[in-house]
Amino acid sequence: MKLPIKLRVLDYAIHKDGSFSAEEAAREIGHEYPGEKTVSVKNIEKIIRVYCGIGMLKASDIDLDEEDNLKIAYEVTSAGRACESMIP
Amino acid sequence: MNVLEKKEQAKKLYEDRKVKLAVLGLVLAWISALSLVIFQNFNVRVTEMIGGHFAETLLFTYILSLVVLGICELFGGILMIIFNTVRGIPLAEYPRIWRVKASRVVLASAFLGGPVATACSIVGISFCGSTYGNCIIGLTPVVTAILGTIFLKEKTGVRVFVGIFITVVGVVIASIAPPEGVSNFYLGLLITAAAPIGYAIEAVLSTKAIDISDPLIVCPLYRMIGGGCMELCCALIICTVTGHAGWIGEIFTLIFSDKVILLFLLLAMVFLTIQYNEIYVAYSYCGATRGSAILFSSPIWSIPIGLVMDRMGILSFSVTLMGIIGAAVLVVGIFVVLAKPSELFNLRDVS
Repeated sequence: MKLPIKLRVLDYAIHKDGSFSAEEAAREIGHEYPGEKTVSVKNIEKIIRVYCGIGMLKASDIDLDEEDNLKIAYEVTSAGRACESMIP
Repeated sequence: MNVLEKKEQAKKLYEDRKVKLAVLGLVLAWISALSLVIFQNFNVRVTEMIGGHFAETLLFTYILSLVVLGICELFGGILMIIFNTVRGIPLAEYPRIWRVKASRVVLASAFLGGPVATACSIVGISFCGSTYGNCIIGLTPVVTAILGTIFLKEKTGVRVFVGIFITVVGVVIASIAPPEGVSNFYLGLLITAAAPIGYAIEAVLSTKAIDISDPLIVCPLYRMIGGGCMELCCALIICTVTGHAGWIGEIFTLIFSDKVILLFLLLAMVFLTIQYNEIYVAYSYCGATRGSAILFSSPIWSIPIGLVMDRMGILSFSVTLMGIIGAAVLVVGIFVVLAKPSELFNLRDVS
């Protein structure tokens, strides 16, 4: 059975080798949850922001794209990695 | 704009976004505090209206609180799941979260939060009044800080102990003189004292599980439906063991035969649903520390809300000047325990 979406995002971050964007995470995870609205980029971004708030993920690079929109790369922290044992 | 300026602007936009999320969390926590008081008042009113048909014993009052709370939590949880489904959260998420064993701690801790803490607070508030009951419940952050120091090895500085002292002073001031028309005032305070202990243990046990879970899935599933089932089962077991099995059926008959009781129960259910779910989301947006500081300012909000509901004829509310002063002192103490006053309003430091 699949993981709950919020936990899958953390699972993705832990196993990702390096940093990632919300768009990339939504693209990779979205294939596993076909037809579910909760894997939209907007929702994945919200989940990542919440994880950043509790210190499980952090923004490793913050920049602006050509249209002056935020372009953020995230990575897992040691606090996030410590939760791996909670993932079935 | 050169590269450095662009990076600086990007950082500022990112910080602004973090602040907006934290502010949203604080607003949700405030709405949760208001909803808590409104739910308590409707709940007390329902238990008064039903209780009037039975002998006034402590056992019956507790059973009634369990049944009413169980109905509110169970059907409130179902209502929230319906709301989630309309919002686009698939029903498949619920068995997925059940599969995560760590998340089930929330269900276990719901026993402390529900049958112990919330039911005792309802019984206690029916005896001592909303403002005084909320003063006792407002000790939750204090008990959480103490338990966190002992069991989670959290660092507890002088500021926290000063805040603890101020909250205790606030409770003592509020409790000195009972208001008029309130019977069993001190018994009510004593019974309500189970609430901060239950809530604090619930918080300490379930923190990690809520961190990795969607609060709007975990709350209706475990805290509401799970908690509601536990309360109704507890009520059934206690009634059967004490030879009062008929009480449950009589309570349900009264609820569904009186439109005013049913309406107040539905309103209590709605506000309880709002309160539980908003605070779970608030904790994930602005942190448990800030969220708790706002939620446990409920003694202050109980005063204007109590006066308005009294004017509307929903319940009778009374509070003394000492009660108001005590509530204000308690809230100051809570803010000192939970945060440096500058941190609470310095949302640039939300990490």
